[in-house]
Amino acid sequence: MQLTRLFFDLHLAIPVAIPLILLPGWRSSRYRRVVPVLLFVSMFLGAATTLLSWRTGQLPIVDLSHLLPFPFVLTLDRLSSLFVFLICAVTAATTVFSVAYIERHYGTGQQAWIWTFLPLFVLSMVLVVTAASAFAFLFGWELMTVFSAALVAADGDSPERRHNLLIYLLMMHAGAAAVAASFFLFLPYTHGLTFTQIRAAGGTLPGRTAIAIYLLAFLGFSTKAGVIPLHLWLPRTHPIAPSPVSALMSGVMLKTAVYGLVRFGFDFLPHPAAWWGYLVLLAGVVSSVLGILYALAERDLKRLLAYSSVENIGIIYLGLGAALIFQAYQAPMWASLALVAALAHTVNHALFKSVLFMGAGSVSTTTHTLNLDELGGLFARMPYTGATLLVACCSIAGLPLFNGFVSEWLTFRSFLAGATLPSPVAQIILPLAAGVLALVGGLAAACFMGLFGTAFLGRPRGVAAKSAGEVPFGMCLGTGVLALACVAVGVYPALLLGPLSLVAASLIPSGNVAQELSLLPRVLPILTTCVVGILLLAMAIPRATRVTAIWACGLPTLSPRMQYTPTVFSKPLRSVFAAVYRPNRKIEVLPADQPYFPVAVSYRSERTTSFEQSLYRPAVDAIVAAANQVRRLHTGNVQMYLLYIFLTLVSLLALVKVLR
Amino acid sequence: MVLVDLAASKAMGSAAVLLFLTVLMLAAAKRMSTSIVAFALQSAVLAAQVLAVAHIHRSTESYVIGGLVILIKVLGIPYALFRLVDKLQAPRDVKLSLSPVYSVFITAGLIFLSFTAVHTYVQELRVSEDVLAAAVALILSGAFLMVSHGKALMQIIALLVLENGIFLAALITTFGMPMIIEIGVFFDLIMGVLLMGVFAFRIRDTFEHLDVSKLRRLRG
Repeated sequence: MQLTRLFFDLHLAIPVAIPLILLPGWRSSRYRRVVPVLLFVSMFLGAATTLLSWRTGQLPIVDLSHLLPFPFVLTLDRLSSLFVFLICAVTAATTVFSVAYIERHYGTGQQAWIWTFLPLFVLSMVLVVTAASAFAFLFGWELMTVFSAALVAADGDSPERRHNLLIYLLMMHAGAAAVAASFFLFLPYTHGLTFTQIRAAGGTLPGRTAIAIYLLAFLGFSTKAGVIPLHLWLPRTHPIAPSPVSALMSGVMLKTAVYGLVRFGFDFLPHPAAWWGYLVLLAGVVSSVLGILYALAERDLKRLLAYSSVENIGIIYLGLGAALIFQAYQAPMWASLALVAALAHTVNHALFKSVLFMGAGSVSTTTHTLNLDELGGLFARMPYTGATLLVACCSIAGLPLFNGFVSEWLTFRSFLAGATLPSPVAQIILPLAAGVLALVGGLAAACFMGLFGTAFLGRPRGVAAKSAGEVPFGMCLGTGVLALACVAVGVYPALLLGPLSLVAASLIPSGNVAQELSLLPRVLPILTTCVVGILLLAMAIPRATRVTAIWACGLPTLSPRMQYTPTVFSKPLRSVFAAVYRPNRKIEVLPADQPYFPVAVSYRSERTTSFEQSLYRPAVDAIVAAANQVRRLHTGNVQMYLLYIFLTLVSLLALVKVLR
Repeated sequence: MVLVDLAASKAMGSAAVLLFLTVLMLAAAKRMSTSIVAFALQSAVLAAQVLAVAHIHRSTESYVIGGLVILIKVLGIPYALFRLVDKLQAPRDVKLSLSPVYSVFITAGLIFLSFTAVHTYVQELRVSEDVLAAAVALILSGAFLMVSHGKALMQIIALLVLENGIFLAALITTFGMPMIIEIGVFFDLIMGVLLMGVFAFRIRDTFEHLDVSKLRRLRG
C-alpha cells in the first residue's frame, strides 16, 4: 500500500515539477533533455501504480480537500486503473517517439514550449480519469482543453489556425459547461459532490432529473469525443497539432469522453432507460458511417486519420449503446459483453491510432508533406515505419490476428445477442446495427488499404517521396512498441479481455461474461500458429523466378503517373455514396479552344455537404438575424431609452395590479 | 393658533389635488418658463405639506426640512433654471414630442394608474390614499416628462419632478425621515442640478443646440 501510494504521488508530482525544471533553463538544451526521461519515469510509475493496485485490490487515495475550498479527491478504481494504464502506456511510447521528432521539427523556444505543456497535458488527462470528486474532474477536464490547445498552438500561427483553435476552445467550453451542469444537477439530492455521494444519490433520483443529467452528460462528452454532428473541431484541430500531440489527442484524450460516459451511464445512474441506449447507438451509427466515408474522401494524411477517429469513436459508441440497451432490458451478461467490447475498442483504438498519427509524423519528417498525392513507394525507403504502419492499418481495418478484430468481433457478438431480448424493437435494431458495423468495417478496410497502398506501395509520386529515408531509431521504437502491442492483443486477446472483464464486473456485478470471452483467446492462438506455419511453409518451398521487363501499355517505361491516385482508388466507393458527398466535379481542359489536343487536363471533385454549412451556418445566421432585430431597439435616441425604462415601470405596476 | 391648525389640516387634505394640478400643468406647458414656475409651485405645495406634518407632529427637524425645501426647491433651483435659460439663450419653447393634448391625457392616465397601483398598499401602510397616489403620480409623470420632452433643460425639470415624488413618498410613508438623510438627499439634488447644468452647456457647445434627440449621432 505504501509503495502504491508513493508511486501514485510521484506519478502525479513529476509532471508538475517539469515546468519548474524548465523555467530556469528555458534556453538550455541540457535541461530539456531531462524532461523526456522524467516524463517516461512518471508514466512508468503510473503504470506500476495501476498494476500494483490492481493486484492487491487496494486503492491509493490522494485527498487534497483540506488545501482547497472544494473536495479534491483522486483515486484508482478498476475503471480508472484501465484508463490510467492506457494513458501511461501510450504516453510512454509517444515520449520515446517525441524526443527525435520534436528535435527535428522545432526550434529551441518551441521545444521548451512543447516539453513544458506535454507533461501537464498528460497530467490533466490522468486527473480526469482518476478524479473521485466533481471538482477534481471538472478541474482536470478544463486543464485538458487548455493544455491541448497550448500544444496545438506550438505548431505556428496563422489566421486559419487561430480560427480552428478558437472553434476548438469554443466547443470544448460548451461541452465542459454541459458536463458541469450535469454534475450540479445532482446537488439537490446530495450533500456534496464526491463520487461516493453522487453514487449514493444516483439510484434515488427522480426520473426527470436523471434524464436531464444523462442528456447533459451525453452532450458534453460527445462534444469531447467528436461524435457527428459535434465533430466540427476534430478534423480542424488534429491535423494542425504536432504529430505526437495528435497521437495523444486522438488516441487518449478522446477516450476520456468514453470514460465519462461509462462513469455516468453505468456507475452514477444505475437504472438507464432503453432510449438512452438507442440515443448512443444512433450517435454511433451516424459517426461511424459518415466518419469513415469522409475519411475515404480525404487526401491529407492527418485529416484522414482525424475522420477515422470519428469513425472509431462511433464504433465505441455502438458498443456502449448496446450495453445500455441490454442493461435497460435486464440482460446483465450481454450488457457486460457489450461494455467489454466498447472498452476493448477504446484500448485498441488508442494503440493503433497513436501508431498511425506517429507514423504520419515520421512520414512528414522525411518527406515534409502529408498529401497522399505526393507520396508513394515509401515502404522500400522506410521499411520499419512502413511495417509498423501496416500493422496499424490491418488493426484498424479489423483483420483477424490484429487487435481491431477482437473488439469488433465482440461488438458483433453482442449485437447479434440482441435477438434474444424480449422487446421487438431491440430484436430488430440491434442486429441491424451489426449490419452497419459490417459496412463500416468494409469501408475502413478500403480506406486504409488506400492509405497504405498509395503512400507506401508503388512508386514515388513526387521528389519528396523519392528522397525519403528511414527515421531515427527512437521514432521507430516508439511506434514499434505500440504496433507490437496491437499484434500481441490480436494474437492473444486474453491479455486485454481478462482485465476488461474485471472492469465490467465492477460496473455490472451480476454480468458474468467469462463464458463468452473464452472463445477468442482459445481460437486465435491456434489460428495464428496455422497461419504462420502456412506462411513459413510457403516461403520454404522454392519457386521458379523469372526476371523480365514489365509491359507498359506500349509506352517506353512505366511512370509514377500510371499508378492509381488516392482519388481514383476511392472513386468507386465515392460514386456509390454520391448522395453523402454530393460532389462538385470540375474538369478543365487546357487550352480551352482545342478540346481534342489538350495540353493539360485537370479534374477536381469536392464534397459539398458539410455539417458546418447545413447545421451550424443556419444556426449562426439565425442568431445574427435575431441580434440585428434586437439592434433596432438601440435607436441611439436618449428619449427612446427613457421610454423603455418608463414602459417597463408602468407595465410592472400594471402587472402587480393584475396579479394582486 | 387655531388658524394655523386649520391651515395645516387644509394643506394635508388638499395637497394631493394641488400636486395633480401642477403635474397636469407641466404636461401641458409649452414654454420653458411655465414649466419652471409649475415646478416651483409643486415644490411649494410639497413644502406646505412638510410644514403641516411638522406642525401636527411638533417636530423641529421637519420645520428645518420644510425650510430647506422652500430655500432650495422653491427659490434656489427655479432661480438657477431661469438663469440657465437666459445664459443658454436657447429658444423658449419646450419641444414636445407629442401634442400637449395627448400629453395631458396620458398624464391623467398615469394618475389613474397610480391610484390603482397604490390601492392595495394603503391598508398596510395606513397613509392617506390620495397623497400616496400623488407621490407615485409624480414619479411616473416625471419619467413621462423625460420621454416626451426633447430639451436637456426640460429633462432636468423632469428629474426634479421625479425626485419630488420620491421625496413625498418617503415623507408620508416614514412620517419624516432622519435629518441627516434629508440633507444628504438635498446635497445630491444640488449636485445633480449643477452637473446637468454643466452638461447642458457642454451639449449646447458641442452640438449647437439642446435637443437630445440629435445625440443619436453618438451611436456606435
